[in-house]
Amino acid sequence: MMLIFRRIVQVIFLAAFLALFIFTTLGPGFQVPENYFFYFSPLLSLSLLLSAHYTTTLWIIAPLSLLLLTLILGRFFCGWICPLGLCIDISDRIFRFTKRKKAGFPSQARFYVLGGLIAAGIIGVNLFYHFQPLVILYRTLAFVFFPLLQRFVPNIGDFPLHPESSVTYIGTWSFLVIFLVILFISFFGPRFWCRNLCPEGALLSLLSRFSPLRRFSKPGCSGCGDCRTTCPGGRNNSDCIRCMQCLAACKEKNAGFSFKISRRVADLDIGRRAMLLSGLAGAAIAVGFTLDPLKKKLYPRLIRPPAALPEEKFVNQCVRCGECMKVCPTGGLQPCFWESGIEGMWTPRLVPVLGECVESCTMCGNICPTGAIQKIKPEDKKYMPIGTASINKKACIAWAENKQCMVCQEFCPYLAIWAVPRGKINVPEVNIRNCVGCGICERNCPAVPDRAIKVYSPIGAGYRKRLRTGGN
Amino acid sequence: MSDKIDRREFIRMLSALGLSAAAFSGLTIEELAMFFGAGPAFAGTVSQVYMAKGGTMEDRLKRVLAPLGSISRFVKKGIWVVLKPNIAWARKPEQAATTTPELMYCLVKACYGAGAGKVDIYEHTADQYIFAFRESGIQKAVESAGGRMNSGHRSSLYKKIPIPKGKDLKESHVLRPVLETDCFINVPTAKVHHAAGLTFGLKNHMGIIKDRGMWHRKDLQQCIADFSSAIRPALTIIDATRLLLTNGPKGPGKVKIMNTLIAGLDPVACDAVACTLFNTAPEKYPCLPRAAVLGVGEYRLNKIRINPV
Repeated sequence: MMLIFRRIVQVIFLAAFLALFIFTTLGPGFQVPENYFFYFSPLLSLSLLLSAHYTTTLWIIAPLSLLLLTLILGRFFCGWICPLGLCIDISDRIFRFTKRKKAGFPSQARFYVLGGLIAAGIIGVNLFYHFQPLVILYRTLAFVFFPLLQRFVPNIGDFPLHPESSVTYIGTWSFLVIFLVILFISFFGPRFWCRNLCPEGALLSLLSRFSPLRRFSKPGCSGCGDCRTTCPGGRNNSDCIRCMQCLAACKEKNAGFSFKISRRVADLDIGRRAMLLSGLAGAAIAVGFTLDPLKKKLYPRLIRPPAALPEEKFVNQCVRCGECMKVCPTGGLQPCFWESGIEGMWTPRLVPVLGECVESCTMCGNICPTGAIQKIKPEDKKYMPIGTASINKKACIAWAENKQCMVCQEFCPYLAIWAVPRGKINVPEVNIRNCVGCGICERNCPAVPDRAIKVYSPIGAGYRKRLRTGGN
Repeated sequence: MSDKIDRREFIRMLSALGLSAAAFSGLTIEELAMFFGAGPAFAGTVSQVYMAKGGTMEDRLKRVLAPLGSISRFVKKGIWVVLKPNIAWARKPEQAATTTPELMYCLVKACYGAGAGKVDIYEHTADQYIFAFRESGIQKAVESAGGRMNSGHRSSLYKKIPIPKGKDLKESHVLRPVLETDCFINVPTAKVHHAAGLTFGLKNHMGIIKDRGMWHRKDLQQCIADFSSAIRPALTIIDATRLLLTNGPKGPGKVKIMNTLIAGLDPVACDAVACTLFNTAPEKYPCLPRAAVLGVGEYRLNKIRINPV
């Protein structure tokens, strides 16, 4: 009974998460709903506080309310709400039919993961996004499942899933691999990820152990151990995810949950030495990341979204939820890999070949939950250059082949391309004062095989030299 | 005047009747030639182009179509109409880069008034279509009149057609609805264009094809002319309500308010007349003579009759 009720609640929250995900796109009313799930994550709030020194009222109140509920109800978030939890539950169901290996993995590992992340965060390197369940799920949905879904269901009624007919994301496979690994480690035990690795769960565990909602067994218990074999969390009050599966598993009907305030607080059983080691490991990784040679010489075409924070701050304040890339109406915002160093992994960058930055669109800033991309007015965009176009005159149809083209001038909304008469035709020349780097020229340049006009980023390597020499 | 009509009076009346019949029935020699299947470029005929200035948009549209036999000549009861305005850019109507929304409203209304079953607007926009449809105000105008906006950004919408007369362009992917519709009406706007020089009806065809870049890689003007030999709109209405005089085709640039509509059956003749609004000779706009060579229509102003209505 309780189990069915829990499934219903889980499905409702996953459906809400999916609905918010699907409607994070350019709708007919130009109103895009924010994904409020992220705000309730104490781990993301902590990551913003530690590595970006940033917080807002919403980022304090929402996680605190979840922590308060955790203090009363325990780790119910993991068992009842977490949408990734339901996905893992489903994979558990599949693996139940296979012969499971016994897991000899220490369930305290999640505290060590958390310790390492906090240590790295204090040094100023944001690594939380690698382990936060909500952003992992959102990224997987956005980069793996959405392009697939769009191929089969292009619109719901008259409402297109995405303005572009087929969006693709660079490096889709990597997100799929991470997601599948999280599901497949259930092979070693139910909810392996939640029990052993999830730092969000660890953070909630710290308060869950004070929760008065406790599991008990009635005096008639024969100690058969049925509850123990099905338990996905742990019998300890700090590990227990309040999934109530033991109620269904107990044939004797001797298991139960009750509110009972007790002085006995569950022991966390964290090894001091292991904790110290994990902290040091996190710090070492963080220091290593700051020494990353790629960061010194950023990719010349690393174009950040308009009104993104300065690079150093941006990579720390971005939680890599992928909402900006999901909402981008042209599909031009793509996840980075090495382009801004290891530290900037999965941050958004504009890839003009796949889609331009639309003149009157500020969706990415409006949707960004952390303010890493600022909210601006569309009319202010022309004062916030994100790059500068540069013409390769050897590849340009007009310059090299003497043909009428000027497509870049046609498309440019900022009058940043001059038409210079040369013989019978016009040739394009970039006016760098007007150019904001939206990339519409690059996307539509008809030159083959490579575009003759390309946008270069002001934070990328060799930018000044390129401007001086006109890009040739 | 006596009750009896003498011979002279009779002849005068007869000739007046004949003249007025010729003027109002809209049956020009060119149209008669088309009726008998002699093709549009009937040698020795004069292309008729109608030009309406001033008044409200609804009135202007009615006037410019009246000598052609009003909209009901093209739109029969229950048929499917496809309109192709110029909504390439996400620009406001005042910036003159797109077809005027009031014209689209009046035209869709007129089509439904003539008994059209369905009126669709198709456009392969250059800017992101949602922004282009919204900013230009055409979505609001068309939908309030009962029409439907459609974007041509899906590649499944296109069908490959051969262009037998084409010199540079031998085949092209064209929007399927344009090929299948009962009545295709081209509603371009008049602008200057840095790549093509000017842009009217023939250039507006670039909004119903899939790969525009290819035309630029080949010879743009020849491709425009080649394509017009394969696709011929039933009617061309050039919107010269506002002219974009500089920084075309997207602007923002200098705008001149003209409150003019140009309509005709011959797409080349319509474009040639529109050239005169920019004080340009049609000979200087290369795709027109090249289209004329392919027999699409007439570009020489002395062979075109401009009828102010």
